[in-house]
Order: sequence, then structure tokens, then C-alpha cells
Amino acid sequence: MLMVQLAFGWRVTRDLSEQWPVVPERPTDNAVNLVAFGDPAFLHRVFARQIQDFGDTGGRSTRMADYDMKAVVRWLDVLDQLDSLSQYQIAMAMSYFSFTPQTDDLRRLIDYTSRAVLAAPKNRIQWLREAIVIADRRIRDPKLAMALADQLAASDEPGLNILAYQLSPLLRARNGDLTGALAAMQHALSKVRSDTPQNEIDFMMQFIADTEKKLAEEAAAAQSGVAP
Amino acid sequence: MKLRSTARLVLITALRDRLYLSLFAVLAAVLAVAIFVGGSAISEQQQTAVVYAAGAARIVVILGVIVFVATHIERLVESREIEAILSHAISRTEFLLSYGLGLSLVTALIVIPVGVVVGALATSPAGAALWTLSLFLELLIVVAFALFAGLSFERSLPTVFATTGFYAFSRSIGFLLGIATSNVRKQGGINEILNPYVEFLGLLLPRLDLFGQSSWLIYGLEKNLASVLLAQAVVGVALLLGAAAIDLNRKQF
Repeated sequence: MLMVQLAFGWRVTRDLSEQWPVVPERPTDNAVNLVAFGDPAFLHRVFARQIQDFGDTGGRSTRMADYDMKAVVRWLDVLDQLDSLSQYQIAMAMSYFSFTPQTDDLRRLIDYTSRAVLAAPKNRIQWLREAIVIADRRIRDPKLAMALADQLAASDEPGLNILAYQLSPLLRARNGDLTGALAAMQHALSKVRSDTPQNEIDFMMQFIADTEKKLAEEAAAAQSGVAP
Repeated sequence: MKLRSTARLVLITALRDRLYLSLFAVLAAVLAVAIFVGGSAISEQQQTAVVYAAGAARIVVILGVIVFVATHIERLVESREIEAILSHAISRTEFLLSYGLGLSLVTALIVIPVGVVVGALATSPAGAALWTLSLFLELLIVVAFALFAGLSFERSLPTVFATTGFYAFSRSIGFLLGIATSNVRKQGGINEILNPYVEFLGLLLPRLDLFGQSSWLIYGLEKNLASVLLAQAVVGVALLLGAAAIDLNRKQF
């Protein structure tokens, strides 16, 4: 029987060792709901902690470039399904998985963040700032950064920091869209609250004055046919 | 007086069996692990710690109380202590009520310190208060079922299995009902036959999936469920104790 067991082990079970993929496939929606046992917020934290450790188990560590970021985003969607108010998953996307050097993966993470913010803008709107910085500085895609800045500026969430509204005009001005920048900064100025620091108000008013001046100079130059 | 002395007996048994000592030792370990794991989270460390602590404590307390009730009743029957108690001027229904009362006191003495610790970690005091109340009510339902199962089976192992199964099923019934009543796609085959039974179970079983939500501890209360949970506990406990009373009154000792 010893020989039979050894032969069985050699021929059948030798290759059936535990496989540790860097990012395992996410469970189905039904499986998630069943395993939650009526307490989705608890399962959310259990899964979130596991996702945080993906690729770094069993004495190994994995380069962020080797993560299957499509699968990571599917897991982040599971976390949203379990707790759509938590910042944990979006923090992982923007502060941890965003260390990937792969541009396509960064785009996936930004796309996830944009969707996740829409699901719970009150708790998460500030994460768009991180997404804008990544789009602008890491991916170097001004259109994407602009689109995100516009999404952020369109928010009506009370308590949103005034800086959130200033990103859109600043990016527009840098891209040479002075008319758009002027309108966007006027919109930002309309969001001033009683607790907005005076220096921020002064900055916005100065920006508007400077931009109006530049636009006037451009118009004058266009009329006279001389470059400003 | 009879009620009080029998309830006192249950409390003394809990102390003698070192229920509190062992349960609180496990809960202290759970709390330490929860704080440690929460501290290593990328974000929302406090929220992660409180959810881990509360979720794990709920499971530990429920399983601990189930095992205590099951073993206590088995010993009561095996040592013929139950016959000695029933030989006094106490009806079987009174015996059952006094045991229910005693076990309620036992669970209250577990839930209060757990609630205080979880409340200290929670970001929403109102949510923590409802969570604590909800855990107590959930335990009352589980204790009533364990009492019913224990007196029926008279053995601890089937009582533990039956009560754990009842608990797991009652915590999942909302999800099962969701599948049974889903109109997203046409269901056929075995589902068509089983769906009405699942819907019936949804009416019969207490909706424990509405109890003990960890999200209350972080985000507070979206709507106050206290009255719904209280009503469910009253109806559930009354139904289970009624079933246990019918079973006990038919038994020959």
C-alpha cells in the first residue's frame, strides 16, 4: 500500500499544490452576500484587509507592476457593494495600488475612483484631487485631468474644501483656455463660505482680475493684428 | 420566589462553569487582535478595529452562549436535577419561564461589558447603543431556541448543531429571500419549486439579518430600527418558548 500511495502521489496529486495568484478572482455577488451572514460591513473590513495584503503573503512580495489591476478593481467593486460609504477601498486605489508604474493600470484606478466618488460624493469627493494629480503628473493626460477637475468642480457637496473648485480653473489656465479658466474661477468664488480663508478669496479675486486683463490684452492684440 | 430562585440557579451555574471567565478571556484576545489588525489598515484604522472587534465579539458571544445552554441542559437532564426541580411546587411552564429569565440575566451580564468596550471604540455612540441592544435581543432569540432544542434533544451536540444552524440560517434569510423573490431573470428548475418554501421560511424565521449591523458603529443610524428589533425579539422569543413549553409539558420524566 505504501507503493500505491507513493505512486498515487507521484502521478495524481503531485501537481495539485496550493496556487497563490497575486490577485485571486473575486467571488460572485451571491457568494459575497451569502458569506456576509447579514453583516456586510464586517465582511467589507475582512475583504479590505485581505486585498491590502494581496501579493504579499507566504513570505513573498510582488512588484506593483505585476498586479492584475483589472482584477484588483473588480475586488474594489466588491468592497463598494458591501459598504458604499467607506473610504478604505478608494484610499487603497489612490494611495497604494496607484504606485504601479503601468499607465493603463493607473487609468483603471482613476476610472474606478471617478465611479466610486459618484456613488457617495459626500464622503469621497476629496479623492478626486488625488486622481487629478495622478492624471496630470503621472499619466500626463491633461484631458483626463481636466475632466476629473470638472467633475470635482461640479460637486455641490457642502463642506467641500475651496481648493476642490480651484483645480479646474488652474488647469484650464495652464492649458491656455483663459475664457474657461475665468468662468471656472468665478464659479469657484461663488462657492465661498463663511469659513473660507481670506487669502483664498484674495487669490481667486486676483486670478480673475489677472485673467480678465490677459483676455483684454489678447482681444486688443487680435484687433491690432499684433501678438500680445 | 420560585422564578427568582431558579433564575439564580442558572446564574450560579454560569459562574461555576466559568462561563464569564472563559468568554471574557476570549473576548479580550479578540479585542487585542482587532486593534492590532485595525492599526495595520491603510485607511480608517479606528473603523476597521471597531468593526473587527464587534463582528468577532458577536460570533464569540453567540457561540459561547449556545454551548453553555446546551451543556447546561444536558447536565440538568443527565443528573436528574430537572426532575428534582419539577418535583417541587413549580409548573413546567413556570420552570421554563424562570430558566428563560435566568438565561436572559446571564446574557445581559455578558452583553453590557461588550457594549461598553465596543461603544468606546465606535465613532457613533447612538449606533453603538443600538448595536448593544440588538446583540442582547439577538441573544435572547438564540437562547430561546437553544432552550427549546436542548429540552427536546436532551443532548448537547445536536442542540449546538441545531442552534448554530438556526442562527446561520436566520442571519442569511434576507439574502435567500432576495434570491427567491428576484425578478431579474426567470428562475426555473428546482428554484421554481423551492422559492415558495424559502418565502415561507422568511416569514417563519426571525429576521436576524436585521440585527447587529457593524455599519451602525461607524455611520450611525439611517433609521431607528429599535422598535422593529424589539418587536421581532418579543414575537420570536414568545414563539420559541411556547414551542418549548408544549414539548416540555408532553415529556415523561
